[in-house]
Amino acid sequence: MTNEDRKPHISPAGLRAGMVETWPFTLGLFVFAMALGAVANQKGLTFLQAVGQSALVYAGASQMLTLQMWTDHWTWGALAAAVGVTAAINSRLLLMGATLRPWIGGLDPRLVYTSLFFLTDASFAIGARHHANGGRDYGVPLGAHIPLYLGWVGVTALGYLGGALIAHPERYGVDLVLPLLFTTMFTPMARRAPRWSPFAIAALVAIIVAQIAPGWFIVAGGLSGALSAALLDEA
Amino acid sequence: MIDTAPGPWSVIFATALVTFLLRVSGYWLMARVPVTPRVKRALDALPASLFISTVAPIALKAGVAGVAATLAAAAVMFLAKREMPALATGFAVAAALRALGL
Repeated sequence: MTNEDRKPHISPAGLRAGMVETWPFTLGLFVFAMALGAVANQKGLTFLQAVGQSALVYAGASQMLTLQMWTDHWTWGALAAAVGVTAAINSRLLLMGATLRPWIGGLDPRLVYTSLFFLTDASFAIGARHHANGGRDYGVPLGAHIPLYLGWVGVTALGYLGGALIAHPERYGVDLVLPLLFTTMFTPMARRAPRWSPFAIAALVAIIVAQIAPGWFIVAGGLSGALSAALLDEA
Repeated sequence: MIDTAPGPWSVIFATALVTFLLRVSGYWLMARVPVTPRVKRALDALPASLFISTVAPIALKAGVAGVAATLAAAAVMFLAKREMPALATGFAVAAALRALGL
């Protein structure tokens, strides 16, 4: 493939396509952000703090974990613990950012570093799929950032005000939205990959690590998969 | 000695900062790592590895319904190569199995 030879660019069509491609994520985003706002309210955050957390941290799983640790009397130790858990859960964002370098390395660094603030599982998935299909239009993930960010912050506010309307999301199969979406992202990539063994190793490592250190399974599995792909093809 | 306790905003800003640093550092780092064929293979395998590493433990935790729904969605995706039928199949399998109490 001559994928890496072509120049990265940003087009209005790409921006539009990226916005549209967020729609399969909207149900999951809505339920998660609603729940987050409701929990923030229940844990005693002010409206501004709840919305501020979504606007500034903008990483759902880590926000939820921080809220689980929320207290009326923060200590520096508790703050360090919250930062540690956040780093563990969000370390996958480091790996996602790393995959962008060969693709968009030629773009204006100011634009790139600003856009990385908005990097999420969903926009990463949309961008990675575009790139895996031979695309080089960074407008696609950029466009995806817009509805995802506005939706996340807006629905957090709604959840804070609306309270616990969605008490048990698993009843509606919402707990499977993310794994099923990622399955549809994974399958075509695996189909094209030179071999499947790195992904089998990644899955196995993730399953084992999830039992021992739940915050780390995505990054542990991802690293094992990448590492085995690097080493296995040597033979 | 620090004699003031941190407030809610300190927690929000500190977790926001560490998250932002993680978001930019992978990209930053890869400019300093030479992209040899081996590194290239690792980066190529990374997105799919991250996807499967997220899916596998969550599906297992969701029990029989979760695993069956995920496998069904993967099978439809593999054969039909279209997302909508794959997602619909996955949710239908999960709903059916959960209705049966699995």
